[in-house]
Amino acid sequence: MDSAREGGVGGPSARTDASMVVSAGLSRRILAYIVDALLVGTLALAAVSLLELSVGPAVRFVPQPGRVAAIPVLEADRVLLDTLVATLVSGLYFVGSWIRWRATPGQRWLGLRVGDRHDPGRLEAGQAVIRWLALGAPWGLAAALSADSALGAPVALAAVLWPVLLLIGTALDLRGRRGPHDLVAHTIVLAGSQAGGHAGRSRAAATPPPG
Amino acid sequence: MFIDARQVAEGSRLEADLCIIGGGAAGITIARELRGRGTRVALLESGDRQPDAATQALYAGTVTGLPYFPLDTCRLRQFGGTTNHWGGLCRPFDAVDFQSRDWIPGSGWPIDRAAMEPYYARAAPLMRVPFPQDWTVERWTGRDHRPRLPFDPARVESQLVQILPQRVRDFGKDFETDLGQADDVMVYLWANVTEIETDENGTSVTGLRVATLSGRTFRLVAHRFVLATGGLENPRLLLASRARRSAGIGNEHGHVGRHFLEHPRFVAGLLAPADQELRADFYAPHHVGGAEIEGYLELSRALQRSERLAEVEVRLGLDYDPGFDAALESGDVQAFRDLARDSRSLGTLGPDVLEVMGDLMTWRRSVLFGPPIPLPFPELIGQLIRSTPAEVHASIPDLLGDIVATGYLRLGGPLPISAITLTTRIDPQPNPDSRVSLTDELDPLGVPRIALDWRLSELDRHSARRTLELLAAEVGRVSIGRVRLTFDEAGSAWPPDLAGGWHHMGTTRMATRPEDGVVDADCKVHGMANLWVAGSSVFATAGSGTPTFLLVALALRLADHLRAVST
Repeated sequence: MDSAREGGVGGPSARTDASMVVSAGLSRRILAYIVDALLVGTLALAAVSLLELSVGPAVRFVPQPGRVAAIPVLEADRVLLDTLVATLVSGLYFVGSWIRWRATPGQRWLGLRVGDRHDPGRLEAGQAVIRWLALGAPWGLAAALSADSALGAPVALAAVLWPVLLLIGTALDLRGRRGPHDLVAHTIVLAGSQAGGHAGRSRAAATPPPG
Repeated sequence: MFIDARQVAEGSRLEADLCIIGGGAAGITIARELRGRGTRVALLESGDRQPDAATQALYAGTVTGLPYFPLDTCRLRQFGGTTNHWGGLCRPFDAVDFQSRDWIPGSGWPIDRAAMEPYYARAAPLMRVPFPQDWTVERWTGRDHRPRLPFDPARVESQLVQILPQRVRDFGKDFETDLGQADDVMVYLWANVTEIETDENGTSVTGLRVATLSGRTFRLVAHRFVLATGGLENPRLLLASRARRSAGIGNEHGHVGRHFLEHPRFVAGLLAPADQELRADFYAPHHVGGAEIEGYLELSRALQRSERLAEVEVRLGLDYDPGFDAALESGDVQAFRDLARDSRSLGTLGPDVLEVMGDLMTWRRSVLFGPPIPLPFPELIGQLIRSTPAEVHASIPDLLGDIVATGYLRLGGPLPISAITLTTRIDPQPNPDSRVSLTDELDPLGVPRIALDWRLSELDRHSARRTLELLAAEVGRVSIGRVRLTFDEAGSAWPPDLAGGWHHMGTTRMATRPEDGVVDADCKVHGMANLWVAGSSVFATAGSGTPTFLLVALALRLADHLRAVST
C-alpha cells in the first residue's frame, strides 16, 4: 500500500478501468452547491450572531440628517473576527463532510460523491482542504479586506466572479466536468450508482467513455 | 475641408459663393445641405474642434437685467457650437405657437406649422430623433406602461419631450466627416468675424473682416452671407458692423437685439401626494423602446385661451429619499452610462471602469463573505426587519450602490414619493425691452462686448401663478394630493431660483414687415440684398417646443431657399 492510500479516506480502493465511469452532470452539481450554500450560510450566520452577542456588532448604523435610512459603517476588527468564524464554519462543513462521507450534505442528497481523479473511491484529507480553498478562498480574502481597504473592491469583485469562473471552467470540460477546483485538487465528482460505496464496487474511473 | 485660419496669409482676400458665419447647429446644417451642389461654401468658425479658453472668453459680457448665467458659460464658441453642452430635449412647436394670440402682444410668426412640417420631417433623421411622429402621449399609451395623472384633458394635458442620447447631440462630431470630405465646403477654424462690410448704401454685404487671436487678419468676399452665430452673437455682429450705418446692419427700425427671449423656469409649487404610491413616473425621464422621454403638464390650449394666459409647462420633480436622488445623478451612474452607451476615449475608459467597479462593490459594506456565499451581517438583517418599507427602499442605494439603485428604480417600479416639485417653464411674451445691446468695452479683437438686459412681463408672472392655481384645483378635484404654491404673484421680485435654459431667442425676430422685425419669412434681413440669419435669434416667440429642433428645421428650410435663389 502506498503512502497516499495509507492517508486516504473512504475505505479500500482499487484502480479501475478508466472507460467505465460517468462524471456528475452540471445541473445537479449547481443544485448541490446552492443547497450547501444555504446550509453553510445559515450555520455561519448563526455562529456569527452568537459571536456578536458576546463581542458586539460589526456594523454600526449612523443616522444621516435628512435621510430616511441610516448608513451602515463597518468595524474593521469585528469584521475580521466574523470572517474567521464564518470561514471556520465553512471549513468544518465542507472539509469535514468530504472526509467523512466524500460528499457534502447537498451532494449526498443529490447522490454525488467526490473522489480522487485516478482513484474515485478515495479522497485524501489534503485534497479535501485544497478543494475547499479553491472553492472559497476568494470569498475569505474578500471578507478580510472588506472593511475599507483599497484592495477590497477588486477582490470583492473577483470573489463574485469566482463561482462564475468555476462554473464556466466546469462546463467547458465536456468529458470530465472537472472545474479549476477539481484540477488543483486532482478530484472528480461522480454521480448515480457510481457515486455510492467504494470505487471497486462502482467501477469508477477517471475518464468517461467517449460519446 | 478644414483649414486653420491662423495659416491664412496676412491681408489676403478669400472668395466663396456663400459664406456662413458660425459653425454651430444652424451653420453646420446649412453647409452640409449645400455641399456637392456646385456652390463654393466657406464656413467661418471662431473656435477649434475642442474648447479653447481664450476663444471662449470672447463671449464675456455684462448682465444688467434679471439674473442670468455668465455670458461666456451659457454658450460654447467652438465647432459644433452650443450643441456641445446641449441637453438633447426635442419637441416641435405646436401649430398654435406660430399663431398670433390677441392677448399676447408680439405673438405670431409669418409662417405656420404646416410650412415647417416638411423640414421637421427632414430634421428628425438628421438629428436622429428616434420616434419623429410620436409627440403626443396617446402615441405612447401601452408602450411605457406608466400611467398619466388622471386629469380632465379639457383642463390639464400631459405632454412629452424626447431626449436624444448624449452621443448624437454634438453636431461638430456628428458632421465633421461630412464637411471634411466635401471639396466645395471650406471650414475655417479659429476665424473670428469682426465686422460685416456693406456697400455705401448699407443694403448689400460686400465682405467680412476676419481676425484670429494669433493676430492674423484677412477678408472674405462672397455673393451671399448667412449669419449663424447664436441668439446673443447674431445681434452683436449686426450692431457692431456700423461703418455705413450707425445703428448697425438691418436695424432701420431698432429691432436688432430686442425681444430677447428665454424659457424662464423656477420652482413654483410643491405637490404633496395623498398616497405615497402615486404613479407619476411618466413625468420623470425614462427609456421606452430605444427612446428616452419625459412627460410634463400644461393647461389645455382652450383653457389658456379662455384664461388669456401665456403657455406654461409644468415639470414634475419626483422627490424620493435623498439617497435615491443622489444615486440617479451620481458620477457612478454616469460612468456606467458612458461605458454602456457611448464610445469613450481610452483616456476616460480607465476611470469609468474603476468608478463603476467601485460602485458595484458598495455592497461590501453590507455583506460578510462566508465561503461559499456572501452573507448579510446579522445586525443588517435585524435592521431591515425593524424598518418601514420606506426605510428599506431608502437603504438600497447605501447597501447596493448607485448603479443597482438606479437599476432598481428603472426596473422595479416606482418608489414611494415624498413630494413632487413643480417647476414652471414659461413661453414668455415677446418684450422689446428685453434686449442685447453693445457696451463700450471691446474684446481682444476690437469687437464691442454685449450687455444682456433680460426682462419678463406681468403676463408671464400672472400666467405662471394662474397656471399653478388651475393645476392645484385639478389636483384637488381628482384627489391625488394637495398643491402648495410657492410663487407669489404679488410684488415685483421673481423667485431666487429663476433661470433660463440656455435658450437665446428673438433678437433678430422674424416678421413680415420690417417695422415689426429684423428678418422676413425666408430669414433674409429686411432691406439687405444678400444677408440671411439662421438660428434661434429669428424666433418670433419662444414656443412650447424646444429651440434646437426648430432651428435645425429652419436651417434646412433656409438651405432650400438659398439653393433656389442661387439658380
